[in-house]
Amino acid sequence: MTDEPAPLEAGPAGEGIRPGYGDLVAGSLAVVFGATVLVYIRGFPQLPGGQPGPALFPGIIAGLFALFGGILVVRWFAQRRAGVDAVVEGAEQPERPTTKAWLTALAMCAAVVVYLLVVDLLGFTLTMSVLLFALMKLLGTRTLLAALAAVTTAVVLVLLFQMVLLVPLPTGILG
Amino acid sequence: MDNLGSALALVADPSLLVVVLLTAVYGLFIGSIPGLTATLATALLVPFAFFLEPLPAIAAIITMSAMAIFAGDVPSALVRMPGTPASAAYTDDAYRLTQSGKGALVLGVGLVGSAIGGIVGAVVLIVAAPLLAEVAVQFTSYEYFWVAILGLTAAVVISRGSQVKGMISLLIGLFLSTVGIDIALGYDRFTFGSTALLQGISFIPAMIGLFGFSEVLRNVLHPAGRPLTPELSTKGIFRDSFRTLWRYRRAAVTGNAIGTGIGVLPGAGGDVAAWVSYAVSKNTSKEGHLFGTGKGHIEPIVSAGSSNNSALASAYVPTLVFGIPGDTITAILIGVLLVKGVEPGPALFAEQSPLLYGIYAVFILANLLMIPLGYLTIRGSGMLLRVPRHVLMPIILAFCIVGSFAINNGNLEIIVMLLLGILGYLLERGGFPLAPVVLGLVLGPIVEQNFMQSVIKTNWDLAQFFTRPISAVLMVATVLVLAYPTLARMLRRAVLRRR
Repeated sequence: MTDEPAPLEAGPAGEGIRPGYGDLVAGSLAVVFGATVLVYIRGFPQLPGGQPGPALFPGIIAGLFALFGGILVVRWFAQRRAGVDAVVEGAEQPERPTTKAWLTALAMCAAVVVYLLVVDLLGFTLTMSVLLFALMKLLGTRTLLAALAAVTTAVVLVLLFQMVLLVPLPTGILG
Repeated sequence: MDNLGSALALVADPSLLVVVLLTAVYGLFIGSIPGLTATLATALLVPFAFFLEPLPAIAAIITMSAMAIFAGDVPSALVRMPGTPASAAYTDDAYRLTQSGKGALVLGVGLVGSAIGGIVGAVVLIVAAPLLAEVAVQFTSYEYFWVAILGLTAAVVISRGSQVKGMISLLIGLFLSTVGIDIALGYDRFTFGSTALLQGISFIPAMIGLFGFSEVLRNVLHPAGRPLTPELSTKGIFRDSFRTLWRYRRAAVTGNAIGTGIGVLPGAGGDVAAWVSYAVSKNTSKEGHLFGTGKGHIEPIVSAGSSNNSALASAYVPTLVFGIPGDTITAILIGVLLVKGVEPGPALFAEQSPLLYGIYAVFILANLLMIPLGYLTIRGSGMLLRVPRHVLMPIILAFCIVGSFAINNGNLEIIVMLLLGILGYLLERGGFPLAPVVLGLVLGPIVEQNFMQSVIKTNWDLAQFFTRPISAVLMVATVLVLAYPTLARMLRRAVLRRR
C-alpha cells in the first residue's frame, strides 16, 4: 500500500458534500420512483397502431431513473467497501445547520403554507405584512426595523404588481 | 443598414432605456450580495419580464445578468465570498490582492475586463449566430430532436461534479416536463385529476422555486458570517486597470476565447468558463505558481474575469439559433419567450427580425453602461455589503410568492414554487447540480414533440434519425460529447506523463 491520497476517479469532485447516507438515500429514492412510474404508466393508452404513445417518454425517463439511481447505490456500497470517504477536493462542505437554523428554514416553508391558507380571508397586504414581520423578528431583526421593512415591502409589492402589472392580488373578505 | 437603423430606434425607446437602467441597478445589487446568484436574480425578474414586450423582456435579462456577473467580483474581493458562482474561480486571488491594498485595481480590472468580455461575446454572437442559422433553417423534426439531445447530453457532461448526479437532475427536469396533456394523444399524464395541472408544471414558478426559494433556505440554514469591509481608494482606477489589462493582454485574449467557446456549448455558462480560464492561465502563465497564494495575482482576474462575461453573451448563440439554452439564464429566457409566444430558432434570422438586431444592440449598450454603473458600485460597495440579510431573506421570499402567483393568478403556482424550492435545496446539498433540471424542463417537450412528430409521420421508420446527413452529424457530435470526459482524462494523463 502506498500512502497516496484516494484516487479521484473514485468520486469526481463536487459530489458527496457530506460523507454519510445521502447518496444511498437519493439513489434508492430514484430507483423506487422510477419503478413506481413504470407501473403507473401501464394504464396509459397506446397509439392506434399499437405503438407506445403517451407512455413512451415517461417510460424511458422512469427506466433511466431506476438505472442511474441503481448506479448511485452500487457506487455508494463500492466506496464504502473501499473505505473512501466521499469528500474529495472541490466539494464544498458547509457546516451542519444548527437546530435553530432548521427551525428557521421550517418557518420559511410554513410561512408559504400559512400565506396560502389565510390570504383569501385577510387579503394580501395584511397577510404579507404580518408574515414578513414575524419572519424578520424570528431572524433577529429589531422590532421597529422589522415593522417598517415588512409594511414597506407589502405596500411596494401591491403597488408594483397590482397597480403597475395589473395582477389582481387577493383582497380578502375583509379588504 | 435599415436593420441597424430600426434596431437603434428600438433601443432608443425611452421605456426600454428605463427598463435597462432599472435592471442594471437591480443586477448590480443582487450580484454584490454574497450567496445571491445571477440565476436567482433572473428567476425573480421573470414575473416582471412576463408582462413586458419581448425585446424589453430580453433586454432586462441581458442587462441584469451582465451586471450581476460583474458585481459578483465585489464581495469576492472584499470579503472573500463570491457574489455569484461565476466569480468563485478567482475569489482567492481577488481577496489576497485586496488584503495587500490593491482592491481598487482588482475591481477595476474586473469591471473593464467584464465589459470587454461582454462585448467580445456579443460580437461572436452577432457574427456566428446568423451563419449557424443558415444551417439551422434546413432542420426538420429529426434534427431538432438531435440538437435537443445534444443539449441535454452536454448539460450532463459539463455540469460540475458527478455525472451520475447530473443525469438524475436532468431526469427530474425531464419528468416534470411530462406532467400535463401529452402531445401524441392529448392524454393527461400525472395530473391526478387536477385541472390546474393539465397545462403542465408552469416553468416560471418552478424556476423561482429552484433558484429563488432554495437560495433563501440555503442562506437561512448556512448563514455567512458578518463581513468586514476594507476601504477602497478609486483614484486612477481606470488608468491602472487598462494598463494591467494591456500588460496581461495574452491572458485577456485567452480568457475571452475560452469564455466565448464555452458559452456557445449548450448547458455551460459563466462559472464553468471562469474555472476553465483560471486553470488554463495557471498552466500557461510564467507566474502561474503565484496564483491563489501569498498576495494573490492579478492575471487570473484578467482572464477568468472577462471569460465569465464573454460566456454570458455567447450563450445566446445556441439559444437564439436552435432554441437550446447555453446556460441556466438563457434557459429561463427561453421559458419566458415561449410563454410570450416568441419561438427562438432560425426563423428569427430568416425574417431578419428587428427583435434580433434589438438584442444585439442591447448587448453592446448593457456592456457600455456597465462601466459607469460598475464604478458607482465599487464606490458604494461597503454599503452594499452591509445590507442586513435577516431583512433581505423574508423580502426575497415575498417576491417568490408574489412572482409565482402573478404568472397565472393561481395558488397552485405558489405550491409548485414551495415544493421545488425544497427540492432544489436538497439537491444542491446532496451534490446534485441544478442546471440540468432547468434544461430538462425546457428541452423535455422539444425532444418528445420532435420525436413523436418524426415517428408518426414516417410510421416508425427509426432509420431516418441516423441516415439524414445533418442528423448523422449531430448524432456523432452527441457521441463525442458523451465520450468527452473519458477523452479528457486520457489527454490529461498523456500530458502528465510527458512532464
